[in-house]
Amino acid sequence: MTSETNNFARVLNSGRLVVTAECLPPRGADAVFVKDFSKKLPANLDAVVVADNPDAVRSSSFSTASLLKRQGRRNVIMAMTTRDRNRIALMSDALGAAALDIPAILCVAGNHQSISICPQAAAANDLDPVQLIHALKDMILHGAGLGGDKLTKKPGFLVGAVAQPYLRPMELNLLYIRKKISAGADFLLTQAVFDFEGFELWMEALRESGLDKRAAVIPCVMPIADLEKARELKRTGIYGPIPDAVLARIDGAADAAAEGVAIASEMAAKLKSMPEVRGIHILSGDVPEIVAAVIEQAGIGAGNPVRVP
Amino acid sequence: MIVASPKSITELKDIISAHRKVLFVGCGTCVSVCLAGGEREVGITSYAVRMARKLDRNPIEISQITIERQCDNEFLKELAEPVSKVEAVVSFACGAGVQAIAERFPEKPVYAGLNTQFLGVLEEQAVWNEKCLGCGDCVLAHFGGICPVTRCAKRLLNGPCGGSTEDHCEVNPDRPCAWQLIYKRLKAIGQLDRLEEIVMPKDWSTAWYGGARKVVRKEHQV
Ligand code: SF4
Ligand code: SF4
Repeated sequence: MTSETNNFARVLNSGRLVVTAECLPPRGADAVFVKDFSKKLPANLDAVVVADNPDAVRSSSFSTASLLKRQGRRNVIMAMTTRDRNRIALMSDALGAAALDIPAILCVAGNHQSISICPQAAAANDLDPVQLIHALKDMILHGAGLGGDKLTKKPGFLVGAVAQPYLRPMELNLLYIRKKISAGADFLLTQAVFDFEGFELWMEALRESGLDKRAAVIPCVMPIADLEKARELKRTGIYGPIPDAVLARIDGAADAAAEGVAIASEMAAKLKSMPEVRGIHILSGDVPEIVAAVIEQAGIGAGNPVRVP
Repeated sequence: MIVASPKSITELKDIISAHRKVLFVGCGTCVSVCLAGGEREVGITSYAVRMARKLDRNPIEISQITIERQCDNEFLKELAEPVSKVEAVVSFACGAGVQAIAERFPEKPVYAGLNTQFLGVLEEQAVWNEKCLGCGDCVLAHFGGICPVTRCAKRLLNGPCGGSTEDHCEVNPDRPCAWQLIYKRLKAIGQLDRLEEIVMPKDWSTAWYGGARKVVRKEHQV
């Protein structure tokens, strides 16, 4: 795949709201899980983003992405943490991903290993996400490998970065976003949005500095399954802040999981109405069924409004 | 300074369980200042080990000495005689001091009595914080004098992670986020523009990754 034939790039630049969902790889050696997962996701998603060991040791994002492709999923995006791979492994996996026609790589630092994965592990942290974005862009634009060697073929994937709408002070937030974009980020996937006002503040700041025009902003919504999960997410903060009102709603609901989907759907509908938002990403965890539910309740299915990129 | 902390008496006792006559060697420099391996600590530890062995009905004879600096050959000379009289040595220096003694006395077992922790600073009574990993190519100039290599738990060189808050690091609520400190400091000294520059991948070959390092200063060689 070259930059010209990259289908996800085409969709992202088409001006319509893109809808993507997460796939959390299985915790076991389980190809059937991936197959079922793919079957339960809506067929017309614009992309599936495969997470890279966010919360536990899971099957590799590389292998899961390739299994999803075998299921006929066209746009499978791979997340890569700088935590688990040094620059040699990052570059090598990126080349492999390009050969598999992976249309985008999402560059993430990764949750710290001490938070829930494996506190005893040593992290690579050889590059940071900005350096990874820059290195990938160098491969795409100049066919340059990290050691300065020339690649035999340039990759054609897009490069994604994570954005942190709630990072304050805002000045530091914008400095960092600007740096990620200058390094070469084509799109920004945000942390999960539960606090709409906080998100609006951030978007306003992006708009004022023109950053929303320089990379596609794709906010995430996350259906929370139960109160225990909500509490854990709030405590670790790994997907971003969760207001007490969200916990209260889940606590008071007869069906907590359905309430979690409702909260995420309401948020997706609000986000969709913001002209700067170029897509919605649904963090589905291990539960692919909720993706279709959110798309339906939020009204973000086919026929999404055309927006100017 | 190099900050170290004592090993538990249980572990220490286990390490020297086979010996009956041991020399405990303190170090008068970093580890004295951080209250881990100076004359006082060596005294207290020998007493504790002696008592513990007595209770085990396996008495031990421990002699003690504290020298100026164990990482300096000049001072190791003083150890020749006391070392000759014992079966083994426990060094209460940093890991470098322990190894210096072991190299100096190749026929004697030499054990570490401390856990060497880091290069750090005493910031309040009995609280030390890590500041430098000794990466061999100091980049503090870019970061307002605050080291992200050491003090950011994800070693981010370009900006904060998603868990950063103005109060603390997401990895440990007892610790400030290095990136918030860097931002504040650069702002205070009028160098916020440094945060606009992309910091390129660090050359880790100057750090430990190339194996143990060696410094040779020709101009000082005789
Ligand atoms: S940049 Fe390297 S030498 Fe300088 S303080 Fe940090 S770890 Fe130490
Ligand atoms: S909170 Fe700050 S210091 Fe801690 S890992 Fe994140 S950026 Fe680094």
